[in-house]
Amino acid sequence: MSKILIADDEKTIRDIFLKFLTLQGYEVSLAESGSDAIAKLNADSFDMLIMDLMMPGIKGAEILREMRKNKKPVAVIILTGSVDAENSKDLNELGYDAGDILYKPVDLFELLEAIKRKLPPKA
Amino acid sequence: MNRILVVDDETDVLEAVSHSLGRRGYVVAIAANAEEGLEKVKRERFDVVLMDLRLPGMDGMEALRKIKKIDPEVEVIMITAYASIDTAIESMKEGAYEYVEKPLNINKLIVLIEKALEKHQLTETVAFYEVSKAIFSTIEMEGLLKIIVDLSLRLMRADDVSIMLFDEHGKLYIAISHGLDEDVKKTTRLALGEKIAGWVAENKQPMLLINGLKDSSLFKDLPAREEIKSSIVAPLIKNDKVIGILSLNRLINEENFSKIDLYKTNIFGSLASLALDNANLYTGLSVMQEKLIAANKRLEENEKKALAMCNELKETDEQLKDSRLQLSHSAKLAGLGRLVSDMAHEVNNPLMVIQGSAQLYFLDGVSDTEKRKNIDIIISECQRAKEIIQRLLKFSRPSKGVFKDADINASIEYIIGLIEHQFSLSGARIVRYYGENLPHVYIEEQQMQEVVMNLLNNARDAIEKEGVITVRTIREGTFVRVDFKDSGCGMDKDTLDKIFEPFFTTKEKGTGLGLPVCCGIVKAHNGELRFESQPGKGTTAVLLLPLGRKE
Ligand SMILES: Nc1ncnc2c1ncn2[C@@H]1O[C@H](COP(=O)(O)OP(=O)(O)OP(=O)(O)O)[C@@H](O)[C@H]1O
Ligand SMILES: [Mg+2]
Repeated sequence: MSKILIADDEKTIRDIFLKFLTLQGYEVSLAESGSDAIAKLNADSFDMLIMDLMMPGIKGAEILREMRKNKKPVAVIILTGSVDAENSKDLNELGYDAGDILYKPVDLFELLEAIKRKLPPKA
Repeated sequence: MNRILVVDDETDVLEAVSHSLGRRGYVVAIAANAEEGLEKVKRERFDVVLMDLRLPGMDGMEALRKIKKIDPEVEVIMITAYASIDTAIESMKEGAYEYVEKPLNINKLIVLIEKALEKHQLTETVAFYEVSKAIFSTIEMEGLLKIIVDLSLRLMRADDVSIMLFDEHGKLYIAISHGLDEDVKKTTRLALGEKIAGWVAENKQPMLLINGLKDSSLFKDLPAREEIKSSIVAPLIKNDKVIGILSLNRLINEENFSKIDLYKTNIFGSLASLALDNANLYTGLSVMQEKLIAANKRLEENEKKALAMCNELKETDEQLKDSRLQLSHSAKLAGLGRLVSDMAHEVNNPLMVIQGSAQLYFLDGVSDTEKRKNIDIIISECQRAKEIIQRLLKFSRPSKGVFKDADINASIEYIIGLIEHQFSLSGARIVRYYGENLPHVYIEEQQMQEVVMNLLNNARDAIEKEGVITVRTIREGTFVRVDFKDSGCGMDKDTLDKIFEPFFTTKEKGTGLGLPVCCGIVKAHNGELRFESQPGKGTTAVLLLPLGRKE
């Protein structure tokens, strides 16, 4: 069972993802801020990180940088409410592009597709 | 003394006539033929000429015509034999005064001569009258000088004439001349007292010079023009002031100028002076008039220019107003763009929740309780989205331009409410210290909120990672003071000096219009906006707003 960490500062959103992905058979953990996410990434190992780009405190790009420093890179899906994130310099430098980004509001099944694309089902 | 010329080829007639006329005090000259007579008329002045009609060579008729041409004023009496009376009558058409028949009756002849002389004198008077008429017929200087010269030549029987006037340096120059060398005319400049003209001008006395300068005690050392036989140099005087010199010379005319001529010159001179003075006045006047016209024209032009400038100014003013509005609008739009992207962010979250909750509704494994909860969430998130959108719309509406008393704390809080969440997302925490019982301020609320928004945006931009924006309101005299203090990067003096310049920005996506527009708005409120800042130590924007009307 693939392990996914979800990082978003809005509880309602976290809860929806939690419910949906759990129903889809994933093992879901939650982080409510950037620092929380980094801590959890360091403490545990995940197959995927789904994170909001814009959270108070530590920003998305920074989380990704931290993650790379300490652990082997995990698959990432970036969520954002803004426009044009795929052209963000920070993300591009880290090697993320349009294929890694979903714009809010996100269709849950679209999200599922993206996860499946990035995480081939475990044998 | 009256001078009479007798032209006759009969010697006894000549003798008899000259004898009887001489006895009666006339100066008599004789000529035996027309040619000789003409020669004499050319050189001397005669009052009356007695002319035999039948002469060898040129006949009397022809001679009469020539004489009249040389001296129109001279009276000619024709002497004729009975046989040629028709011709004699004919001669009167040519200007002869009368005719007498041969044999001559001396007494009759004398009466005739007296009559002719009377007429001649009258002619001279008339001539003066004509002179004055002619002189005053023109008022234009150049034309007048010409007339004076022409008249002097004729009236005074001079062979050359010149008029000298004073130039702007008070020196005499030759204004016009007849018979003078052009070079002499151009180069002659005499100081008062210098040479004859100078002397005359200084002493205001006319001069009669006979035989050139040889006999003159005053001027015998001056180089003289040999050909001059006699001269009159007379001052032209107006109001006791010498305004010029009139010089008359006789070269061909062998009769020297007489005292009477001097006297005549004086009369003529004073007439000329008067006319010259008039012309001077006129010249002055016309110069003045020209100046006036020119000045008028300039005035008109200036007026036109002023008008054009006025219009231009009006236009510029309008353009300025337009561009100010545009500026304000574009700054607002820039701020708005910023706000819109912030708001999109804000709105997309509730939408995310709504979509997710709705999608969960149709999934197996979601309990009814959970479904109910999700519907509630959808409803409340819709409300949240609506609020965000309404605030955004309200802020983006063009300002009404209505000033009224307002609670600045509430105004600021409204804006903070709009942005606080986004600010917190980017690490900027907002702390309020709203003054209690704060008096109202007199503001156009929407514009002032734009200012607040701009200042807060700048504060946030100055904060790199995390920081605090402190908003403080307090009464300060007749103002309410609002401080926006941030713990951001601060500014050095160079930057601080430029922040109110339109388009000055240190930001990648800044317009540099935020503060210039704020400044304009605050000025329109009779308020004040100033900055205190140090690099690394944060910035405080101090906003002073006048108290409300009812305070
Ligand atoms: N609180 C502040 N701290 C530090 N620098 C500031 C602050 N406020 C303004 N500045 C400086 O003044 C400049 C001009 O500000 P202004 O608001 O006029 O334009 P901008 O903020 O650059 O552009 P825009 O308002 O369109 O975002 C800024 O670029 C910044 O360098
Ligand atoms: Mg700004």
